[in-house]
Amino acid sequence: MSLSIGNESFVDVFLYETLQNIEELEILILHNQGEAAFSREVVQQMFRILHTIKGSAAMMSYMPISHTAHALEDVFSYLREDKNDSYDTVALSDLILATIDFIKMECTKISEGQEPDGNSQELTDDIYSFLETMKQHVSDISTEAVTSSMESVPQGQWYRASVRFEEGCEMLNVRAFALVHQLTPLVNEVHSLPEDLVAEESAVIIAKSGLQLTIKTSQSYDDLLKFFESIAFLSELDLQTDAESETATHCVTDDQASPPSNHESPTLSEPNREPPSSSSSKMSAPLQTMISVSVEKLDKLMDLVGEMVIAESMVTHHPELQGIKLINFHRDTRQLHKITTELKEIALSIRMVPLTKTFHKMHRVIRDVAKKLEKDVEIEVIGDDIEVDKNIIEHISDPIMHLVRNAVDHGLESIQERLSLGKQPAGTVTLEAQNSGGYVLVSIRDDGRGLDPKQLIQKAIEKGLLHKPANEMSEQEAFNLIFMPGFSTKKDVSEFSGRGVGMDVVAQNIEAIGGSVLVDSQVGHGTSITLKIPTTLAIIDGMNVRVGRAIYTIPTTGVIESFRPVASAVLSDPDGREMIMVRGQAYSLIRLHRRFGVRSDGEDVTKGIVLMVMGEGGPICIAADELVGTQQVVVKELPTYIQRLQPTSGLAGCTLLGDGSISLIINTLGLTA
Amino acid sequence: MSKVLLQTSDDSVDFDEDTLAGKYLTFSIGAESYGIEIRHVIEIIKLQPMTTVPEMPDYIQGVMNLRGQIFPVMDVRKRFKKESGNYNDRTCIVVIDVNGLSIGLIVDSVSEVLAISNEDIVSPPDLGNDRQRYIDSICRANGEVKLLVNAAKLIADEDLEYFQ
Repeated sequence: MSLSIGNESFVDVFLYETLQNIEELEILILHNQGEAAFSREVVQQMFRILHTIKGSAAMMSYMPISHTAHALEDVFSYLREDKNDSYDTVALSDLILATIDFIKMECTKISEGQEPDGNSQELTDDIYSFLETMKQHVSDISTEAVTSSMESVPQGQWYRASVRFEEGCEMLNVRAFALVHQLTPLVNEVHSLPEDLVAEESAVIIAKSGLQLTIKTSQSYDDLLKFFESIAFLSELDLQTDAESETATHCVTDDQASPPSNHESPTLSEPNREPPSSSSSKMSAPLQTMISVSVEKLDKLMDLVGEMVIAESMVTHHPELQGIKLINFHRDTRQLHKITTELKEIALSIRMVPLTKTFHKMHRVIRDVAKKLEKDVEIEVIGDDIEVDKNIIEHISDPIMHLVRNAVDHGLESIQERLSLGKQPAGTVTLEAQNSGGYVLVSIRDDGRGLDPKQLIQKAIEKGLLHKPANEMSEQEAFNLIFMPGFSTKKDVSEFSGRGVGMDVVAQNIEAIGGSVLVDSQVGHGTSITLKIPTTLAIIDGMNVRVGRAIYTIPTTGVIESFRPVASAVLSDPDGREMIMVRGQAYSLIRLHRRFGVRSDGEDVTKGIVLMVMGEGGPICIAADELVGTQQVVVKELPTYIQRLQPTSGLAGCTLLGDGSISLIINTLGLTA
Repeated sequence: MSKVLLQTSDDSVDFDEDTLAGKYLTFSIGAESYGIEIRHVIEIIKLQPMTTVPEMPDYIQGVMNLRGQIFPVMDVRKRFKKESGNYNDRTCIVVIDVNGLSIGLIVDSVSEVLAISNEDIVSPPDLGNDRQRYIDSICRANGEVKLLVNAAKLIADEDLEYFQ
């Protein structure tokens, strides 16, 4: 796989990281070039940097960069192992600087959108020949010294570390693997329990009893501790020195001993290649185009921008200006309005993250599940460059994971079944994202057996979940049955799905962020589940309704329609519960003023407005006095004190209106509770 | 904005611990005079327009917007189970912060900041009276008896049980 067009965000991150690493490396070299030998720490540090560059370049398939970094890494790996000081630091520095220039040049090409086609053959050869001479040199001086240094364990201390990850953290085995991988260049030996971190079962073991590591390193206890503290999502760490641990059981990663001679290197060689060091002088250093900013600062910025938008409308609609002719003033305030709107958009866009990472994670999930279930799955990813708010990503990751697992486990048939149906042996799971107004549609599609409405209805009857005559169920309604709590279509519970908690949780999670889930399926042709997700949580489209003197905001996502009812449509049952007939269907009617205990204009529904919204169990109607209008509102949390006192969930938060007053945002799902 | 304000008031607690200790803001509700530790007080503002929040205990008057920050507002009269009087131009809101929890208190009027030495403070007699829950101690200053309010108890949610 070479550089594909779709992964621009990855490229940016790669460039950002690599350029930073190179810069660090360069500083190290320049600081130490006068020395007779590099100190152990410097060697260690350089090794770490080169290791990182090698890894990320290999991940991005920039093989020449990876190869040169690898070659240098071998040199440092040797230096790290071997306590010999008799090498030519100047020659080595030159080599490193040449490598740095080479990588810089390649990075410039990448950042300009060109193919990084530089040839690293000569450079890698130079590095390896340097390594050879260095080894030669040492063995000439004292063969014994080398053998002893090879055999005798480099002085180091054994440590035992017991690590736990934060609860709710996903893919523990992958995190553990990443941890061991990061740890490897720093230490001499690492052994982990469970041994095979790639296996899916390890995640369960790690979740239960944590990750046990036996580490041998010459690093100090404090350095090691510092390393662990830098790992994300660690919740517990028990690091102890272990004097007698000789019996390390399993060796997971120990790539330092790999012989440098038989490394794969590109076979092509272009004679017209310019030496990298001379050509680099012509290239300007690639500019750093990314910086990392703390989310906290972004949140603060978002808050302030939200306040400014409100303050702006407070000023321009100030009551003291009413009735005064201000032609120039209004022209200038329009300018101000334009700027604040733009600022708001920029502030929002800063928080936007592409779905790439989430989708990649799903890639992995699909692969693992498919392997386990012995199914052949092809994965298609479309539109992973679409961006959504950082907060949203956190909320949709789990639901999507659940849906893709379902797609592979329930949706796709086994290979034999597919063949007998005349389908391709390999099933396809498609992950697609597309923009649609203020929403992103994420669909998870499979070409498996599909959902059978009749089967679903039958199942619902068995479970006593059907509250409607079976013959009146539309196809769509039947599909929606899968979101009912306690509904699981598969009889046997597998490792991945079928516990009957899941689809209802998926629906709940998505609805909690103001989104919705749509199911479409065709028996024998597959299922498509589409998540409609707002691009941002911080600002939503709201409908403002007035009840008496109070204004409430209802998220537009939940509103199906609004209408003015006729008196005959409103009924009440003997318990005093009100219902309203809309096109022959009865919906429960909730009068906001009664529900919230506020004064309203009057009891006559026909003078007010009724909104049909999505309630917890389906559409419900709510009555208010007047529809004030729609506007984008900045969602704020209710004060902590109020949240503590709030016994029910009719409110989702609050927002500031243009005049500075507070409007409460209604959680339509919690109204019936 | 008010977050910054909060911050500075916190800092001043650190720096001016001595100058804040033993100082009380006194306010009146009905005929009685009360005191609250000055270190809790963020600011005193005039009565603001408020939004009623449904399903709240009656002493929660609503929420108000103070420079973009949203604060709950408690009517201390109702909290003390007194009849809520009519608000007038002496009525004001004392914004306090207790362990990071901010709330506005509606009081009839604020009087002054008093330094009260420990010798002048006595424990209240055990009357078994519900209202005394919020009163830590009693003191005599300027020839007047002040009831010293425990801010933490004032905003504690012992009423939660009632709702559950």
